[in-house]
Amino acid sequence: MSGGMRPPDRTIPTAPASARALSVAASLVWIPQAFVLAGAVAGVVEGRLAGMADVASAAGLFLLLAVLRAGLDAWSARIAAGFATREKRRLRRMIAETAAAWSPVDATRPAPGEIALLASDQVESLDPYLTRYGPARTRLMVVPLAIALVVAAVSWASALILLLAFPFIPLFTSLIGAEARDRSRAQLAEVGTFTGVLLDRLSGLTTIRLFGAVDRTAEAIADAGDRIRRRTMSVLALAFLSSAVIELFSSIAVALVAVWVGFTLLGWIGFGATLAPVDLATGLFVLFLAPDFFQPLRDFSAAYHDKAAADALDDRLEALVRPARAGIVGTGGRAPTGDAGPPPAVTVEGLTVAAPDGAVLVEGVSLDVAAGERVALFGPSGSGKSTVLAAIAGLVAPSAGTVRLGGAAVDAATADAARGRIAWVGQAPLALAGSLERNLTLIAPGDRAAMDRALAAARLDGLVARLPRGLRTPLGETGAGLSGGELRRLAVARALLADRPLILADEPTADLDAETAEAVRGALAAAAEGRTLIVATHDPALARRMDRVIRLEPRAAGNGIAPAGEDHRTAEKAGADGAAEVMRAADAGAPSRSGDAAVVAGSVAAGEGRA
Amino acid sequence: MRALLAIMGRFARTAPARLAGGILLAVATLASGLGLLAVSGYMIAGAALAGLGLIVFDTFRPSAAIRFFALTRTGARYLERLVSHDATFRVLAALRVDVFRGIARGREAAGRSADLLARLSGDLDALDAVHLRFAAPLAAAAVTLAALAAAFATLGTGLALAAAGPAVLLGIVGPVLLAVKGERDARRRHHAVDAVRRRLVDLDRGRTELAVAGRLGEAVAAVGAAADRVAAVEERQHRRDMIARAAGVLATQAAIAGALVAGAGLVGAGAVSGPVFALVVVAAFAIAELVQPLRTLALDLGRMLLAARRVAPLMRAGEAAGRPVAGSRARSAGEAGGVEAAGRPVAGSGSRFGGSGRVPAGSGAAVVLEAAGVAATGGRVAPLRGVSLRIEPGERVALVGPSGAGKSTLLALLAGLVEPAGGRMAVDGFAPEAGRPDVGLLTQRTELFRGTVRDALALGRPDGSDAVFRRALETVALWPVVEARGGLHMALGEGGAGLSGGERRRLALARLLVAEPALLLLDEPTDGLDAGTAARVMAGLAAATEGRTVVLASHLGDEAAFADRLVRVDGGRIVADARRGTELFERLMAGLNDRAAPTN
Repeated sequence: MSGGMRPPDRTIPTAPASARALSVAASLVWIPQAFVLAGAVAGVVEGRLAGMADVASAAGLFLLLAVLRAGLDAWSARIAAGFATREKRRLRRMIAETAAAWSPVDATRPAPGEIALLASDQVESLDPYLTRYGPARTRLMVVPLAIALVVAAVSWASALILLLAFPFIPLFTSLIGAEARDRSRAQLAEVGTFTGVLLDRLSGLTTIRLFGAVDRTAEAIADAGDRIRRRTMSVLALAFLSSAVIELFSSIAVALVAVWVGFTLLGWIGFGATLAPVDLATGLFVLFLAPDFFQPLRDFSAAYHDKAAADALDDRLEALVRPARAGIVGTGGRAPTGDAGPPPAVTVEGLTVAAPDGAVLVEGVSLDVAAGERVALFGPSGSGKSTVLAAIAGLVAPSAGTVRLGGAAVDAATADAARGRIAWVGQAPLALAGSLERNLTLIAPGDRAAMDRALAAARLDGLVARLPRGLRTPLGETGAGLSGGELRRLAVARALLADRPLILADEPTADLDAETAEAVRGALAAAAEGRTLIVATHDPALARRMDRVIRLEPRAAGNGIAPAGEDHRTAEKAGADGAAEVMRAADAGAPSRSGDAAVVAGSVAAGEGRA
Repeated sequence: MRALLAIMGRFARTAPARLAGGILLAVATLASGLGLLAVSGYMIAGAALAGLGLIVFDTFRPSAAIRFFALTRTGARYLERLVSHDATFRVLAALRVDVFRGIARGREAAGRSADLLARLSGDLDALDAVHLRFAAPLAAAAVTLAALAAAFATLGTGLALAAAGPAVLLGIVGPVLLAVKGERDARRRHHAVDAVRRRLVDLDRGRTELAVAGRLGEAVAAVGAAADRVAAVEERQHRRDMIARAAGVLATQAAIAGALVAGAGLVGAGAVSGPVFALVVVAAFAIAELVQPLRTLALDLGRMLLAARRVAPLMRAGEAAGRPVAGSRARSAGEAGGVEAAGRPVAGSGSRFGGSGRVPAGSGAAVVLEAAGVAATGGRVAPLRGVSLRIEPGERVALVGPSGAGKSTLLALLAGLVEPAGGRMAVDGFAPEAGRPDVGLLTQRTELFRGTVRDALALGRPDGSDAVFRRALETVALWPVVEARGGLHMALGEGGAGLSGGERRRLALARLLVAEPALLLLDEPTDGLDAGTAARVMAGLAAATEGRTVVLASHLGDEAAFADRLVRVDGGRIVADARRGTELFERLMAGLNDRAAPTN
């Protein structure tokens, strides 16, 4: 187990003390019950309880105690279950809130789906641990001791038998359990799981069909299943031994107690009684208590496996949720004001963004964009274009420097309002699960005519007309159905519909074929009418369409000094001629710089890919 | 419930002896536990009476029985768990084969989304517990209780009723009723947990758009609302769980009290001796162990029913498909989708696709398409309309055009992966059909599986030699990578993990090459490779496919340069067709992209 490496404070708590205490109390009720029952049975056997009324009143008392026991047990379970429900809800909300604050440019973020799986199924698997583990552990600490004391009051020999058997059990089970764990870890890595093998093959079903290998693959799955079964059974054969050890020792101990009591009553054994000679009632009393001496150990050994699930979840939280990550500015909530205002000017001064792991994404960038201007941030991968764009939208908190929109600084207090003036066209735009219309109106609603205008301007009208269900066409979890270019045009249409005065576009033409890229360029140009537009791109054709090109140099790897002798120098040229000049310079310089760029690209590009 | 019974039927058919053996061993375990306590009570009572000089009591047999039961209880329990688990695993393996066949043979398009696969995985895992947590404990409890009741009935009917009655009502019937009542909540809870997952995926993927739209807070609240829904359902389930727990405790206690009262009556009537009376009362203790596993039924059964409803249809289809049917590939050429095959079938068409399909170097397949189309299906594939195309054996054709134009659809049509909507088509005289060994398609998405590199290549050619496999890896410039990591024995994880994206692409290409099809359909074969590697791969490909027909889809100039003929697809139609040397060919080439420098 990895527990030794971590600080002792467990972040996943166990059931509250009240649940643990009630569960102990429920177990202890058996002591008076056993006493009543033993007395009644002995009375009947010895002929002392002749009347049915006496037996019935004993049975009534026994049942009354039973109701108490059932009530305490259910009450304890209820508290533990309520605690588990609250704890799971708290974890889920915590995970969602934490994840929402992460910046999209942070490349160390967990892959999509990992967090989701953590919050759904993995948190769900905590249930047994949250409800059972704490009470089982407390019962193990209290109940056997209490029973041993009561038994010792009657017969020290019986108590000795129980106490002697007890320590062997954890010893053996821990030895056996450790070996089983090692084996199961080795086995999982080697052969996978029953379901894993199936999903692996299903994920490549097309290929299997193409090779006409459905039957062959079915046989392969059967073979793999057979191998997994054999190896799993070899692990289980060992793991089950640990519970067999508990069974064996408890059975032997109970048998020994029974034999001791029997032989004492026969007068064959003359030692072992504590206060008074053992009679039938006290003998039965001891016998009735003996199995319950071991029951907490059985419960705990079952619950111990639940702890593994909690440890696994804790490891995942430690790896995915708890590390510090670059965050967004503000909350990402809705902007308070309604009117987005005129196209804003954008000013960036001395912007430096560093990831929490120390990687510097951009350093010392300054730029000025006038209201209504169309500007390209031009540069190779790794020059930090996307990060600058994200910083303008408050999607990553700068380590140094300021960003101003229309003269007002973008900070924690104003970022949400500032984003209310921005529309974003990303490299891998979001397609939320839902209809095309829902995705189109994500930022702002619009009537049919407005939607049609936006779609036409983004050159998506043809596609929508072709779709059998038009705007009601569902888009899947990953936006199945629309190509990358179509999704980007959808983002442009969304921006147009929202009518926001500043459009930020991040590599809108990357990885598109020539014609699709041209369609996106046209859509962007149309959208820029009467708005401020900043495009991060390394597409010369797109840059050429802007009023101005701002060239971003990549940070040199290692020493933090760019080839020009200055970090993140920006070169600015106005107009189409200037743009061409900048780009010629970029082309000429490209081969000598590519090495540096590639190194820096490692962290930046990965972040862009996720955005 | 019918679906669950179907799943249980599959269990029973797959490993009947082992499952029954497991249940019998479970009964033996319960009986041993019962015997251990009951005989102990019997012996103590007898010893007490003998000690008082009231009876003569033989202690030898009871104490031997106690030792015996102490050992059989342990042994039977251990064996029961081994046998039951082994049987369950056998069924789980068989069930997964069924599900695979069911999906593979299904009509639905091959591409199941990750979402559906995740759901399937959850369902299958839920069904794992059908035997271990539902059928076996229920059966063992029922059998043991029946045996106990029968034994008690020989002493007195009233005793049997008093002891077994509460156990049956509170311990078995109660939990089952609660489980049935709680089925809908179990389903709701499952859906609510799934909503947590889906909403977090949306939040995670859409964080940029949501933040800019000012809706990130709403997205967090939506996850919170789903979490609240889980909690609300759980609250209701807890109430039922509480009742089930209390019933389980009272089942045992009431049986003990019942045995006490009814037994005392029998002692009073002189029908039963004192030691036997003690035996009877203590035997009732064992009911606790018997009903305890059924306590969680209320929580588990609903989930199992839901899973069974979704898995049973796949299982049935797969089981039917698993029964040997004369080769599915032997479907005659004209049958597929009602499309008439153009061209002339070769003699002996029935066995045409029966062999390996490998053809010697220099023999390519002819492709004929006449007014072929593919209907739009919800945007999943780009539609095609009225495509006519004739490709001669040995020709190398590149399909070019914007993304979403239908290039991939055209390849899928020739590979038999999509249903044609009218028109006539033939590859080498036969209607396209998935699984034809003389046609190979490299899909856009690289699909590799857990196993070794050799396993991966053997999918293309089951009887291939090491030399053949190595040559193919050399052709795609992958052998040095593989050789350094264990050669053909190099292990791949799920989806080909262990290789980079570009290496996976090349391994998939090598897998296609070893199959030696007469027609190779390549969808962006060097996607994601750097220029140098791509050039080496394309050169190797040119040499390896000499004389075979190759159709590739590409938007990259250096990839399309492999072809002698460019066919431009746009809007689902063929809009241009040019051979090398023409001006149109050069113009089409000029419109293609340069290979971008790798971005990560």
